[in-house]
Amino acid sequence: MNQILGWVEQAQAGNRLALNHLIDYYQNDIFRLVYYRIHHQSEAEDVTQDVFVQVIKRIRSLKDRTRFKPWLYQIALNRVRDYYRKKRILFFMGTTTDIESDTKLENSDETFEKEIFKKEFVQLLKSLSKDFSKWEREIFLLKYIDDMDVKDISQILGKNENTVKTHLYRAVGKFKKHKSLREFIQRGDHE
Amino acid sequence: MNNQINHLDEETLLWSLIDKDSIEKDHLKHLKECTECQQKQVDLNHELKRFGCLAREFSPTPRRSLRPVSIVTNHRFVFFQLKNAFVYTLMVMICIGGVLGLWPTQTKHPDELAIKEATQQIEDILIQESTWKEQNYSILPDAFQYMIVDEFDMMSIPFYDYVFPINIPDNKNQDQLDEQTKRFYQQLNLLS
Repeated sequence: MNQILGWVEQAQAGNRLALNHLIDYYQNDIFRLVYYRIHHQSEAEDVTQDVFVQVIKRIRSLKDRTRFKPWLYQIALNRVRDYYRKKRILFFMGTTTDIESDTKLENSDETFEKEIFKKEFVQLLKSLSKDFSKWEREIFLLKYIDDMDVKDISQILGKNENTVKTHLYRAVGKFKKHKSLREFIQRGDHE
Repeated sequence: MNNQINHLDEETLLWSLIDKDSIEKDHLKHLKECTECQQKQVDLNHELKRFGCLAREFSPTPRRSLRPVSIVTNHRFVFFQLKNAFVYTLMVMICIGGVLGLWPTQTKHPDELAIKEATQQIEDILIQESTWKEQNYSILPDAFQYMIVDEFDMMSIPFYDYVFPINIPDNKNQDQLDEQTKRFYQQLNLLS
């Protein structure tokens, strides 16, 4: 944590190397956050890169260095929102067909069984997401995939902690009712 | 013993997972003592954590470095800057001038062509006039130059014939004419 704080401080002073350390450290986390909201590998990479461009531009404006992670996640979520907004405009203008998802698996060395397992998980995750409201989905993903605590989530989304807890409560309730996903998780436990 | 019988309902169990402080003390006490409720809570918590682990495990990794390639400057474009005011004012003036047709950008080809043609015609007339003046020089003032004719053919005007009848002399009588009359006739090309 101290190391990250140090990198943030140095990056704010204009140290490009520290900035690169920060980008390398959070690259996979941010990419995952974006990927589970876009479901498209190359577009998620572009959006993630765009997130880091924003970080470079705005890092001097960050006052509380300890809040770097929520701040970074906030930028990432805003970029995802912008991505969908842009897609929607292009869709209405007729320049793009649809917001297509890409669930192709990039690692060819993975076993066929694992690939099937992975695909099934993605499908179940999408099915669960359909049951959620916008905020429930966002909070649930931040809590359990991105491993954020309620305080950080409330800062990222700019919502009251109690509101976050209420949305989380409803989302977990819906997760509990999603039998196929729970069975899948239990099956995975046994294998 | 009573705690063991009245297990926590689903709602309370969920709240205990999300925020322990939000549930009542009795429920919390029950949760601490009841292994069945504890197991339910642990199982659900485990499933949720496992869900997160699977999501992280199955998430692809970026195929390229996501470091932005170019160094981004911290410069932000500010629209309302004093140094831009002159440029904006000029642009507005040009636009207004363009709308009102004040600028030469609005071409007037038909008028220009007509003016050009008229100028050419005037120049032609002036050239013709000067040429005519050169050919028909006269001592008369400019205002009376139009009266000058190329060749004064006395014979072709009947009025002069009537006023000044000219008797063309025969070849026989030409010798009888005095020198002055001869010269006059020669000027008029009346003599053979």
